Amino acid sequence: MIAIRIAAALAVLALAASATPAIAGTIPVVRVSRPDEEAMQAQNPTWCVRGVERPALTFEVNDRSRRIYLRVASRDGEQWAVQDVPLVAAGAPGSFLLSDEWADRSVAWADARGFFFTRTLDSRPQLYYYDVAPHRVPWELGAVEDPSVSPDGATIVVAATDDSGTELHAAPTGHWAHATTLTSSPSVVEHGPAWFPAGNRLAWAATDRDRTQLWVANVAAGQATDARVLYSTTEEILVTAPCPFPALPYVASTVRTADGRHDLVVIDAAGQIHRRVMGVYVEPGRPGRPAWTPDGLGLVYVADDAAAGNPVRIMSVTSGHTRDLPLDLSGALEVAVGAWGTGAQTRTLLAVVAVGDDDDVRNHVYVADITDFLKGS
Amino acid sequence: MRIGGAGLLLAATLVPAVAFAAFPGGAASSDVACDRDVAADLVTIQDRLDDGRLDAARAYVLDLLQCPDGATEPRLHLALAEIEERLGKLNAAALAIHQAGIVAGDDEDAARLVSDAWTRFASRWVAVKLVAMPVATSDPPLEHAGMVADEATQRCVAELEHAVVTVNPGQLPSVQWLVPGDYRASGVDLRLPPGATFTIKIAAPPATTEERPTP
Repeated sequence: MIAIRIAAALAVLALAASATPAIAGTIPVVRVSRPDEEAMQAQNPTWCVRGVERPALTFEVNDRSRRIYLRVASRDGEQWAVQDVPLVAAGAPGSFLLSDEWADRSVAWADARGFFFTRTLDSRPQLYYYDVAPHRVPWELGAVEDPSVSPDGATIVVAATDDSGTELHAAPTGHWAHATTLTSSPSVVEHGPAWFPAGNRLAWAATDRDRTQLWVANVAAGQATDARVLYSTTEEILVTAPCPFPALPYVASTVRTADGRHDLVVIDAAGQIHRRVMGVYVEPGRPGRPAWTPDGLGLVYVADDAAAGNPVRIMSVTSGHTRDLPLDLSGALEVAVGAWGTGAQTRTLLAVVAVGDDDDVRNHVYVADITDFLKGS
Repeated sequence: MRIGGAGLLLAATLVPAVAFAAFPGGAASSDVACDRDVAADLVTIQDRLDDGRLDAARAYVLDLLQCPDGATEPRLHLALAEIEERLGKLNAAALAIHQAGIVAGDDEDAARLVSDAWTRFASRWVAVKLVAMPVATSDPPLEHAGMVADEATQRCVAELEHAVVTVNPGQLPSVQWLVPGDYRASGVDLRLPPGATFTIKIAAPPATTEERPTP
């Protein structure tokens, strides 16, 4: 008998939210990742921010070898349901084999119905889309990384590496035959494309041997126009996120300094550093995108302060003041901010990757509603 | 229309929508001699699958199935099913599992293999049951409405468009298979997850003289 070697269960599990009794004065948290996934470490939460009817996010689980799987969590009432992204994909023969190297990651939500991600098999990441099943995107590129979907959901940009180098490519979603190449600079590695909240404006980093430049351009009909260098540095720009509020022309980037420290810098429209947070904790090899609050006035990050237990901190972009979030957990590693609802009813949700309690020392994803805290700030 | 939850379709309850070809007896048509060790053949097939040589594995199995003993070996039909599934040819895969069930007959071990194969298969894809409706329509029975239509999805939708109900009223319905995803039928958006079953009405084939009811 030919065995189909699928190790992971494909079943959908609905889990009761694991609410921890809150300590007075702290913001309560709810564990989202499953308690029953032995030896799995949760990481890299990514919120769905488009057309959200209910809060939803993805996160990765790492089996600590070279395998990374994706989970989709959505809240229904007070419960979170967690679903596996299946390993098997129709017409993608390699997906039937659980190889030693397997990595589903780099999620970019297209809308509330689905998201793009990269699936690495045999060391080659390829672009997939998930709605209720994984679909290999019929867009032939090299090794694909960093998918990013425009605010209107109409365009996707990726960084792809082939023999001629790493360039950015764009395609109208669903019309892959009309894909174009946005950049052409073999000696420079373009990476980390990130869209501004309006106007089809894109930011990305371009790294060569001596420096990293932060570029911005308008992208329409598969072409980049008005491209210019916004900021240039000898530090290494790792990831970038434009401010989500259109009227605030800031771009936040996580950078690695010459002495190996990670900082968060906020660049203004003139290409000047508006704010710098020194000492941001970044998980080795996988920096999360800077986590803006939905109003664009704050940045949430994990402070690289082991003595204080790596607290989750927020910086006011306008004043530069910082404040710790009194979360009912310790050992934070990563954060992501999401929003749910509209107008005055909008709730701001914070996903935190942190070490579990005394009985479960694995990394889990926790969610906290920080709306009231932000209002108090 | 209805969308069911996870469904298990046993071989005994499935009628394939496409009539399968009878396997001829006699020697194989190409390089494969018919005096075979099935266990060794299965290892060879697995090796080709592991190497990503699906077309080579498929050709090898098809040759073996031309042999009299091969045609009656359920494991070879299941091997073919797995290859077709990996290629994204879901209806061909279902047909091969169905054929495996037929040749398994009363062999309990073989029947269990077939049942397990159905369970896995049905949990991964969407079963579309076809029932005849009396009035013909030019509308496609189902359209893909998701953001990404991969090759397998397009193939399944095209096969569904050309499907016909092959059974008479009162008998079990025909079944086609789909890649899970977002679809639209009769103007209604549908999200069909893995393991779902879905009933769709399509025009009945024109009745032949012999099938006309006697007045």
